[in-house]
Amino acid sequence: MSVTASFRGCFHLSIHKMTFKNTYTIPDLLTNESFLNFYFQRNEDDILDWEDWRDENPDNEQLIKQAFDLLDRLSLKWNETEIKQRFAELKHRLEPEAVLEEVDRPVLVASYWRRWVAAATVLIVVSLGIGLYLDNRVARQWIVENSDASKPAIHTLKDGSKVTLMGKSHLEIAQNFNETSRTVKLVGEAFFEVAHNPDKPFFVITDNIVTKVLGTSFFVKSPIEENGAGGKSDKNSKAIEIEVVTGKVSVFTKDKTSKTSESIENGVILTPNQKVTYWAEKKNFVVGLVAKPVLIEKVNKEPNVEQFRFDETPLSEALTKLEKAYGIQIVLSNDKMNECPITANLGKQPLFGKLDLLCAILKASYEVQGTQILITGRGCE
Amino acid sequence: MPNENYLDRLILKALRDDDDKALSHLFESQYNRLFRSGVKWGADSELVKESIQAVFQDLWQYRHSLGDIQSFEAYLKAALKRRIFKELTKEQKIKITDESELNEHVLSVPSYEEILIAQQTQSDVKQRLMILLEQLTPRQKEIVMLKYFEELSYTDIAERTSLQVETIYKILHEAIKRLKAILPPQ
Repeated sequence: MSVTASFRGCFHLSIHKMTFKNTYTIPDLLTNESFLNFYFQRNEDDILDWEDWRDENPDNEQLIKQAFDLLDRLSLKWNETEIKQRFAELKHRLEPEAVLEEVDRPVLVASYWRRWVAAATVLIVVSLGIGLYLDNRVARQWIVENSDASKPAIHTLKDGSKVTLMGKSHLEIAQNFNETSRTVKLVGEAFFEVAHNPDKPFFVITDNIVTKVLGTSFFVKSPIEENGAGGKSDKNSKAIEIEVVTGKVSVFTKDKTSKTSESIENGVILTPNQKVTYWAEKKNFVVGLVAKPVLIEKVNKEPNVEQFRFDETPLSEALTKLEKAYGIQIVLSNDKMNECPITANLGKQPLFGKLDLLCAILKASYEVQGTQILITGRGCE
Repeated sequence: MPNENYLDRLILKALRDDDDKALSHLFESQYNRLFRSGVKWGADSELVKESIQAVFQDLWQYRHSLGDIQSFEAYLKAALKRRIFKELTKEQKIKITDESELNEHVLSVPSYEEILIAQQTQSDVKQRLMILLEQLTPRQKEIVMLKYFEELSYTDIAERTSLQVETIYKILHEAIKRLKAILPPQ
């Protein structure tokens, strides 16, 4: 292409191309109105021009990145990691709904968890607005009912297990309770302290969901729909939620059309600090973490907070301690982070607080993915 | 380029369908805009943070009964304003009686500095920034805030400060030369 010198000026004007200097410094860019139009996305021409300039070479791109970093700070923008953390906080507040959608298939917990058997403390939150459904396979012997809405009532079962029934809750106990197995049905809320007996597993049935408890105590909670229809019918009334504090439980659906009560459609095994939500419509189990994971050893003895005092401890070692204490698997996105030295005292915070601090030290971020926690970061020098 | 309205309609539909990705998209794309408005209404940054959380909590909770929202940006901003107005009147920090009187105003330089320091996540950067800010003149700090937080043009700043555009440019250039020291080393 040959353009004579005398035409060049017109040529430039006609395509509205701005002229760039050979070199820019950060202060040059941050005082350049056209560049600021690019940053604040105020002017289409400026945006296109600076984007072209950026694509010319990697040095320009690097300089723009730095300039934007400084502009983000000076214009009081929260960085992406910070906003993601805030969103994670929001999700915790929106429990149980929001976190559940992170996993949309049933997840079977790996054998990795098997070592946390022992006694079970299970929190079961059942928000199922379905009236009392009588299963003819389980002949009803008697019903324990607490119609007093204001305070819980304690009942002792034949096997020595204790049930604390909350207001307006029913408990159905099978005829053959404690003969070959221990089965109860629950509508409402209750706290169970189950006598340990591995030969006769303890089952809690809630509509078509069965919770099999392999240990000693657990908590069950569900709103009751009055008179079959109406009453409480909020949006999440079709979901059953079960939270495990310590121990191990399996949760599965019972196929109503099947003749045998052993028929298991699908199910999950839960270990401490995990929870499952069952969506009746989709027949779908979704496993996640509870909103506030607790130390799993707490029930038996005083937690040792000193174990979370780290002094130049490699990250991998610190995370192993957290994994053991909470029974939650923590995964690093980047092996380079394994050796990052951690000096901090994380004794007092809840798990997510500990992770906030760790991530602040590491300039990393974390997210709950199903039953795992994933830490993403670059590593350290 | 799809227009904003089209995007807003998609988001509204997704929210009604319980899609929490729509919620995270809104949260992440609107967060800074909402934060900026909140501090300009005179709320401290903690109150703004808490109010934004509450606004999104409500949005998710009432997603099935949402009206026909044309613009989420305007909707969320109005919801945040209502909340902040309520809190500020509760704390009796403002004298006005109607939220429509709650206007955005120019942030004070001390508030600007405070938030700027608070936003740095690394303690060494925080300290460096505090030292740097101490070295700046009040004029430099004011112009930095007007230029980058208030997003004013040189002409606007000239009107406000009775300085020449050329002078403002020089003051700002000097200030940035110092402030760039808070960036991580390359």
